[in-house]
Amino acid sequence: MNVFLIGMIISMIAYVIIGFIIGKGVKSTNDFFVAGRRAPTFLLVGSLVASYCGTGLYFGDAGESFAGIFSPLMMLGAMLIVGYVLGGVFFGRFLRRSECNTIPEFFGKRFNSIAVKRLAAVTQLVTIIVYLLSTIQGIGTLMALVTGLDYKLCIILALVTFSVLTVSSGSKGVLITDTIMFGIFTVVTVIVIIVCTAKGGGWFNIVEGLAQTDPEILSWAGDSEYLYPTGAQNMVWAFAYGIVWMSVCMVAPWQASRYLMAKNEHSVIRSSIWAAFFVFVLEFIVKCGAALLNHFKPELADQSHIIIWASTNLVPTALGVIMVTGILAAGISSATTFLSIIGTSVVNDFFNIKDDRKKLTTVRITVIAAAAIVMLLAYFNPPQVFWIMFLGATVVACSWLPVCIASIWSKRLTKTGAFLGMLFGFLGCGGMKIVASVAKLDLPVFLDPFFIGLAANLIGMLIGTLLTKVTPEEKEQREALFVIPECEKDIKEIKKTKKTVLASIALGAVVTGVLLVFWVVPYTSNL
Amino acid sequence: MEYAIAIFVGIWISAAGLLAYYRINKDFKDLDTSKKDKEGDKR
Repeated sequence: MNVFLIGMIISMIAYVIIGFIIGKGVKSTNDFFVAGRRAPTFLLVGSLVASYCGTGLYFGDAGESFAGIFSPLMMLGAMLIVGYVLGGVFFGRFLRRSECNTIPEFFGKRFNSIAVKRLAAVTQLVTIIVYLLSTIQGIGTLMALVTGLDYKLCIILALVTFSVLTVSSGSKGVLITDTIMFGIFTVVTVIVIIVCTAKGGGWFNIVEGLAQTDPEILSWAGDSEYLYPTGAQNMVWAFAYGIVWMSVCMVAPWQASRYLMAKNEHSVIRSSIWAAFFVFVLEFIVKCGAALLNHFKPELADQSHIIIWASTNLVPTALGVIMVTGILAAGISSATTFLSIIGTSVVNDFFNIKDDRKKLTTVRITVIAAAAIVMLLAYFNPPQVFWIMFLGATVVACSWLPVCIASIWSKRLTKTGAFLGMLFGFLGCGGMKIVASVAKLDLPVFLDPFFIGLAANLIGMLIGTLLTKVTPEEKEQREALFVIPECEKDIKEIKKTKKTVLASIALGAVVTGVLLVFWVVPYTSNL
Repeated sequence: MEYAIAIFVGIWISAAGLLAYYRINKDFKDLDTSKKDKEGDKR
């Protein structure tokens, strides 16, 4: 039993207790599914950021930045935040206006089609289970690495924690615990990176030093032996994946579904802008911080452990414990969101239960069943899981993105177009990913499965729309989306929302400023 | 080239913000216009 294990166990117990306390106030499916549709801006921000940031950022992205492709990853990270800005305004607020419980339900209502609803639900479930499995693996790896406990025991502990939290309190609990976790991991990450760089003589001293000793680490091209052999290819990859992850932030269910819980559309828009800001902060501090840790030249068995190494070697123990529990929180917050969506979607989009109490009981049983299935898959790790993991989180973006945007902004898209678009996008992207992995294909960036899936989606939408006509019901549903509810017409709220959106224009200048001051200028002037 | 990356992402983000602001402003401007029309009708 080491101090990191104690810290993790205390934090997990605290989250479970918070879940139980909040769970006492969950009386209906409205509370469980969408937190009573009363979530204020700050809870939405907390959940958006916490559901986005997970072990992938602290392990995968940090490791790759440390290994030598900081610049492409930073460009990708800065590009993707646009997904929040556009997602809130062009899609999210219409989700909220629909007053649906899930995004598949929104599609079903919009197109007056159970088939579209069910397909959206299936694609959502497959993607979320995949992402949940990889999140559990990340949490298990973190816990095993830091505590020395058996990996399988770690995944059981983590699974029990976030399952109990989700079962007891549903979306209400997930929103609140996500926000607490967001606060913890954001603040502690900033502090830890500051402390680490201070130990190396200060941020600017390290940047200037690396410019002279290992210039490729912070260079625009990145390490030519890591990803692609040329800087231009790395940049093309970064641009393409910036669009991919922008799409995820715009429409992925673990992001856009937060908007369903908002107290009003103004909260949707404002939270999306604030989420863009905080995600950039975390993207920059984790990625640039990890790259700067090259100053210490640590001996690492696996480069993805760089942040853990820093937390256990460079900072005071108490701070290291909080950092590690913060990374655990980043993983758990994502997992609770995934599990709550699974439970909500299965009951809401596949069953037709009228009695609310029975529905609430069923969703809790569903969450337990889903957790048990995922635990078995993660524990026994059959080979099929390995293949499923290749689908990844991005497949939902190319399956959903064009349909999400067109469902609001296109007068021509029909239910058949939406169905075929979603189906072709999912099969195109997912199929291509599996084929490329099995055949070990080295695809050029423009043939990345995401773009294949996106093209397939557009073709599907076109075929379906050309073959069918918009029905009066579909027309009515779309027109209803553009009727602004009376409660959203408060002049003070409108002015505040406009100011927040205006700030997103300034956010571009802020991002450029931060990159220039903390990376580009000190780096280039010392080459 | 590092300068280009920093400036590009800033323009990317600001452009998105501008698009979002244009849309919000338009939606709420239409609202203001219809409110003023209604007030005009009352007079």
